[in-house]
Amino acid sequence: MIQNLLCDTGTGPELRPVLQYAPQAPKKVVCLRMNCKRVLGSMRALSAGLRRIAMALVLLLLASCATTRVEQSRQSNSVLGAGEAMVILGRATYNDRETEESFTDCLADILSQGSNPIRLVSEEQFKDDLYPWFEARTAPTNANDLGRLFAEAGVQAQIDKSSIRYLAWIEGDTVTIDRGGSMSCALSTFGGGCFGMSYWEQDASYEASIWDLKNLTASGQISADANGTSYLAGLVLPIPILARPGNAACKGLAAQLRVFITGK
Amino acid sequence: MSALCTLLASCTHTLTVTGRIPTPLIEPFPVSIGLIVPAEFSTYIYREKLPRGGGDWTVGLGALQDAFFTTLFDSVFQRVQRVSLPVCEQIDAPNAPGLGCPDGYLRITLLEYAFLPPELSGLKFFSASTKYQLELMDAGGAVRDTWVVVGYGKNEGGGFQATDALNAASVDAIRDAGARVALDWSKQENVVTWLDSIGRNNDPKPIM
Repeated sequence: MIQNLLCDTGTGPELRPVLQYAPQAPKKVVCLRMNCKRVLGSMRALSAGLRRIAMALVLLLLASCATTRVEQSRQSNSVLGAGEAMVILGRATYNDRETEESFTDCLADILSQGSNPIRLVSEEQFKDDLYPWFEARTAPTNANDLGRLFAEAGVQAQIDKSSIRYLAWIEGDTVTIDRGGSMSCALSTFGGGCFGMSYWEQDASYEASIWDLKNLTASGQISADANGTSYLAGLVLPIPILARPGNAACKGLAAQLRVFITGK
Repeated sequence: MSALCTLLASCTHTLTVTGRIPTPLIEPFPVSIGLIVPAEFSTYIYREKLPRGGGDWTVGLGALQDAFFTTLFDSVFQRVQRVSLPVCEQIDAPNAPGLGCPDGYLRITLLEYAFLPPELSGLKFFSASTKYQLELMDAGGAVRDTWVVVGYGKNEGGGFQATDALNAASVDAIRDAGARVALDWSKQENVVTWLDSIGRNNDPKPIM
């Protein structure tokens, strides 16, 4: 059974579906989320002199927004049942790029809270309980391997004991793709300050592969890509204006993952 | 951090590696083993002065690796008895009567431990590796197999979280080596031959 799910338009700000593919399996939904804050209203209270400086900062702030794109592909219709849990695992690699632990922690924090919390089994507990089957070197690389692994009765019994229904493998990372500008700081007996401006553009790209441990199949994938440029402006004091695309990708992926897993 | 270390001539980092010790989900081999663990294995301390202001490092690895492999071998084999020499009299000592002679002996040795901080690797994480040697001896004490296994671990971190990151990387390196021992040791050709010779060969299976 193939089912399409729309992005959550009720709770997340400015999260809306912008593209929907033809109704053929697997269906995809793409969402965009603009992670900007509205600050123009507060400027009215400032004096004229400060207003020009504030305007420059606001322009930088608006330019430092992170844009998130979320895509979902679903291959099964099942959702989390009562008492069932999910585990989030960062896919370990032996190269120099790997999903940051802070990213999976961010996902776990969001999914385990809110009005519709999901029961999560921690990655550490899961790996300990199933040692040595989910270590970096021994973990199954695709859902087809689940049948072979679960044929081992001890594994199935341990999964049943923990009531784990879904496993979400998280892959991806955040990289700096461009940087420029310059800023210098000086300090003397008469005071000091920083002047100039530097910027860096980051791209966060993550994908969650969701496996159904009850049916031993792949349930689907959700990907989240966020891009943003951060600035460090030196106006006597160094003023950082951060886009945080990794955080934006985490929020976008978590929101969609919650809908995917719970069906609401 | 490196610049600060250089200014201060040297930074000293002292770490006793700690971590959780999982019990492997493996059906034990129907084999009794006399386990030989050298004294330095459980007291091992690694010391290194890193170049380019990396500081002096003292890493106590012995206690954790000893506890880890004790738990591991207790799960991999049906019966494990610590001995100091590969001779049967050790088992039949008055303080352990009735245990009988083991089917074989296994000596574990740490050949090498190494780590690399981000400052030297240019990467954003600490990495650590452990190299163990497993020496299998038959009931008569003759060496039947020598197998070297390398474990690898890495963890993000640096600066003021350096010791935490190295601790996590070292634990992962021990776990990685342990996973290979649990799943791959029995597949080594000489080990298979030995298991066949005592009529105890079977593939490792999880606990029923």
